[in-house]
Order: sequence, then structure tokens, then C-alpha cells
Amino acid sequence: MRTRIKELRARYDLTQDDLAKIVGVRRETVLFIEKGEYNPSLNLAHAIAKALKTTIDELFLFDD
Amino acid sequence: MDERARMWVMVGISAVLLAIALMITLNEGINAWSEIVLLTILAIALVAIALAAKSMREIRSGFPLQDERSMALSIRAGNRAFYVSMYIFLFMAMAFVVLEDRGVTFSNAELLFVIVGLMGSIHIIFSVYYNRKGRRSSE
Repeated sequence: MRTRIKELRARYDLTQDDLAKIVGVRRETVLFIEKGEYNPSLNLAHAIAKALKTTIDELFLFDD
Repeated sequence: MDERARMWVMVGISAVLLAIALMITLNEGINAWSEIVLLTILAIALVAIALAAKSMREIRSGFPLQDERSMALSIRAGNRAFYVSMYIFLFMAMAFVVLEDRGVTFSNAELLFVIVGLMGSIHIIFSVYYNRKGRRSSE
């Protein structure tokens, strides 16, 4: 799984710390999600998508 | 109870337990064994202070102390630590039976100290390992 979190963060000028504070998680969690090394719960995925003004299916890209 | 209050309660309980352990150890008199216990108590207290300071910094910066990923990691670390501890203690129990037959005995306090120390160390090792390795999902 790949994500567009980094790209959208840059668009809205948000750091990983900013995004982590907005969605209420630790900064490492954002880092691991961004690298595709952690699959967030549906609630967290929704919160991140909302913070980045997009939808879950546009944020998380599956290779299949 | 919010995270800051929960952390202070944990710090308070730990301080009381360490103080009781310190009092009991000092009451027994200073020998090689009590020196080991005192050094361990000191090490635990120093680590606890460092962790509490780090946690306070995190809370002040607006980050939660635990989220779904760290919770999943600590559950996995606890689960693994439980099974590994169980097998180690089973082995130790067998070793103690053999040693007892050969006339080597240990006091209950020594055994308790070793068991609790081992359990805590194994849990810390697994926590660090899973924090570095990560976890694919919150399940």
C-alpha cells in the first residue's frame, strides 16, 4: 500500500507533527503510515483524509 | 482521568513502592545482596524520572502518550513477554529443583527479586523491539 499523505501535507504546508496533532496521534504513527509501514484503523484513516481535505480512497493507494 | 493526571498517579504509586522497597532493604542491613537491590532501585528510579520527563514534554507539545499504534505494540510486546517469561520460569523451576537436590538453596526474597526483574526486563526488551520493528496494523 502507498499513500499520498506526504504530497498532500506539502500542499497544505503541514509537517508530520502538525498532522499528528490534528488527528490526535503520536508523530511516529504518522511517519509509519506515510512510509506505508503501518495500516491505520478506519477511524484514523478517515481523520487523516479529513485533515488533508480528501477521501480515504484518494489518500491510500493499493497496488492490486 | 486525563493523561497528565494518570501519569502523576503512576509516578506517585511507583515512588511509594520504591520507598517501601528501600525501607525494607535498609532495615535488613547492608550486605552484598541489599547493595544489588539498592542499585536496582536507583536504576529504576532514574529510568522512571527520565521517562516521566519525556512524557511531560510530549503532553506539553500536544501529543498523546498512547495512540492506536503504540497501544497495539504494547499489547503485542506484553503478549510475547508473557509467553517467553512463562517458559523461562518453567526452566528456572526445573533448574531450582535440581539445584536444591544438590544442596544449593535460594531465599524467597532472592527468587522474587530475580523473577520480577526478569519479567520487567523481558517486557522492556520486547517493547523496544516492536517499537523499532513496527506493526503493520492496529489489529
